Amino acid sequence: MIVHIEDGPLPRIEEMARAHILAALTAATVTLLVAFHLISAIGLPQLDFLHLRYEDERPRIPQVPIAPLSAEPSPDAEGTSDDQTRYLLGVGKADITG
Amino acid sequence: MGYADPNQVGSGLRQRLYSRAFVVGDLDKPEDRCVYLVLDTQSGDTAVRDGILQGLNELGDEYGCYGQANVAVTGTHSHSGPGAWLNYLLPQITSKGFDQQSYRAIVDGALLSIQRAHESLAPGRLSFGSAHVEDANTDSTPYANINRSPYAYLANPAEERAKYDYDVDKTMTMLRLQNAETGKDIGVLTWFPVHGTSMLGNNTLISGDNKGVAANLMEKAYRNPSDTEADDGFVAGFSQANVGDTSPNVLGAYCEDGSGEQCDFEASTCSGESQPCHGRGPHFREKDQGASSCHEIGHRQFAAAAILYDFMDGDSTSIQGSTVKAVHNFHDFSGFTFTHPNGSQVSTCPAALGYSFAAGTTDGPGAFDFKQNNTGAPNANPVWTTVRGFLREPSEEQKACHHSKPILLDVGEIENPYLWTPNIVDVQLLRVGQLIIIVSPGEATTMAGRRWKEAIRASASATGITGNAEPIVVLGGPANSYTHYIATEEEYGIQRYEGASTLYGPHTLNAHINLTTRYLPYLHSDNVEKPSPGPQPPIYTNKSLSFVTGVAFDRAPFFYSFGDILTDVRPTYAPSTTASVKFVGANPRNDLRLEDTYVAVEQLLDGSWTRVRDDSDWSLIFRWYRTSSVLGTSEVTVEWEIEEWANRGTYRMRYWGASKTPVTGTIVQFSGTSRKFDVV
Repeated sequence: MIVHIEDGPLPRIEEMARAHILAALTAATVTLLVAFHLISAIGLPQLDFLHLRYEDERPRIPQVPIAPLSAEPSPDAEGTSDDQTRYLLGVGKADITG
Repeated sequence: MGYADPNQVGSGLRQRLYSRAFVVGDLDKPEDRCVYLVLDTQSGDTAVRDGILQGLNELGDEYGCYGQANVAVTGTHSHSGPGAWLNYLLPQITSKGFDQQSYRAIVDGALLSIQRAHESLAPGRLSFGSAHVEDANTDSTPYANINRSPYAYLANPAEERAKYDYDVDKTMTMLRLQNAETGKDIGVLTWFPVHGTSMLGNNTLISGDNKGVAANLMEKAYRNPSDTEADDGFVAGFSQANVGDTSPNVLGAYCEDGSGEQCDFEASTCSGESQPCHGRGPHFREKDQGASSCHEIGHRQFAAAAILYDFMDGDSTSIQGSTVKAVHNFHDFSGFTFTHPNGSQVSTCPAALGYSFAAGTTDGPGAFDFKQNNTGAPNANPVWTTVRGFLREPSEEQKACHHSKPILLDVGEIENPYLWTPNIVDVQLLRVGQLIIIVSPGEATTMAGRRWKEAIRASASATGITGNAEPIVVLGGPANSYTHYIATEEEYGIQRYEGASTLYGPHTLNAHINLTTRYLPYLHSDNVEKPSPGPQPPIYTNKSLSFVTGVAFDRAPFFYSFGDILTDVRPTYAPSTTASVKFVGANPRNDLRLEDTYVAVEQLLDGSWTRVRDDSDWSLIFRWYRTSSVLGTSEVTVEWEIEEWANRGTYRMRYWGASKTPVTGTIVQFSGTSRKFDVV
């Protein structure tokens, strides 16, 4: 079957579609202009793909609320880290699965 | 070591076991240092500790600063590890004796962890913090631990109980270790009391139970290259504390006889029997031998530790004062006479176990007709009295010494074929600055641990051992020579499982307090003296009975080779489902693959395969099954419980094994690989 498209005033549906496309294009243009302005002002966000991936892999620290913590008050609360006693410290881990 | 059930025979691995070593030394006096080990084992042990000390001695002069006084061997109290490594006969019985391979794996691994800690020694700082581990939404709901013997706890004086909000200690304490040069944390060491009995008595897969889960989660969270706070080699120790009457089965004890009723409060029985009474973990309805509950309780400890760790960025107590000291000796508890706090002269007794010991606990009920809360005359079948007599009839003096404990097994007086339990016990304290660590050989109950810590704190404060700083006291155990339980005198009188397992009679706790407060002056910063070493305990590693059979040989089925696929994976899996593959396998005891892995999950990334899961991961399970003892054939099933957060992508599963050739006994390595599959 051959459909003839005749010249003349556009059918109402096509007219509405073209008007919506125009609105969409206008909105997209405005968005791009705003984004361009923001990027110019603030800069691009840094993408750390590896970090994001590790975040997915890491056991997530849950949001389950724990009772309010109460750490012992530090007698050296006023002191700097340089005042803290230093020790020889070492840690190690090894497999013992028999 | 599991639940002392000979039917609980290992069939694979859920999560590898580790030794985590923490070494602290005086910067100005290199000879003053101490080692705190956290092993994913049921406890410390006399022979394990001896093996570690011998190994340190053989490493030469550089390790000469480590010795009897300053090496503490603690266990997380997991009930999901291999057995057959303890020194004394009683715990060997249900493991068919002693096995050198199990023993050496622990000793050699512990030595290696100490070496790694020693080689990484560098100046650093210590800080201390604490937090309550409970659900803020409903603070009356048990969260990570409950008391499994509240009837015995109630026997403690009311005025003493009134000092505390709960019948268990809900406080997690943390020591944070920071490298002074890089500013990064190299590890944390926590203490929190909860039994390692989340995995049930029908579990046969090796794991570190809930503390193993917690430690692994914490290390994986903070060993992150992008983490600026923690070092790449971050180590998280989740040490056991006053664990004696705690349980991770936080929903309480119920009758599994169909009634669904709560167990009897005094004796934890159901219609007069102990076996049907069992504690329920958070996910007790899952038919997984306790795995879901175990991961949940481990995760709760990890979550609390992670929050406390971050909180300590802004608020913590600095450990100060350069003094690092340790004191240790062996003491014979079979007849130690001392002054009771009430002024009378009392004695400990040769070790003995009461009838309620055989009743077990709500975490692991015992067998036959034994019941808890059995004081005075035995309330079990009188045949047991006859059986007792065949082993050793306790003397009237021994019975009087043990007072309200009707003696079932007079273990401290049986020397045939060798001692069943220790009478010679380690007494040990460690000190770093104002922090004092009680190294407990037994499982101290909640109140026993509180009294012990308070006694040490008060004595240290009164004598000014820690100078101007208020002493901080923690208790770690069960450590060194494993001596079962330490209950208070009042709890002992109730003779639930914990009281019946308090080996040296009603004055066991006070004896420990007496000795450790007596030794406190050795921790003074100017002290160079040591107490007399005491009688040396026997070491039975070369004379212990062993009925653990070796691996005879392995064969692959006809037309197959080792590592061949028997049942391959499906092409696709969704998260929260289980991918499974079955291989032609061989006995894993041919090669323990220490510091390595039996199985792994690999992901295809940028054209190459990258390992993303291994034996250290809870979600990856290795199961071994001997299909024919005659033919020597076996199968290995690898299961990946795909996490809901697992990345979508292409994966495969790997298996590494070693077979033992018939006749020659040659060990031959092999591997197997599944086909690719997608997580979609």
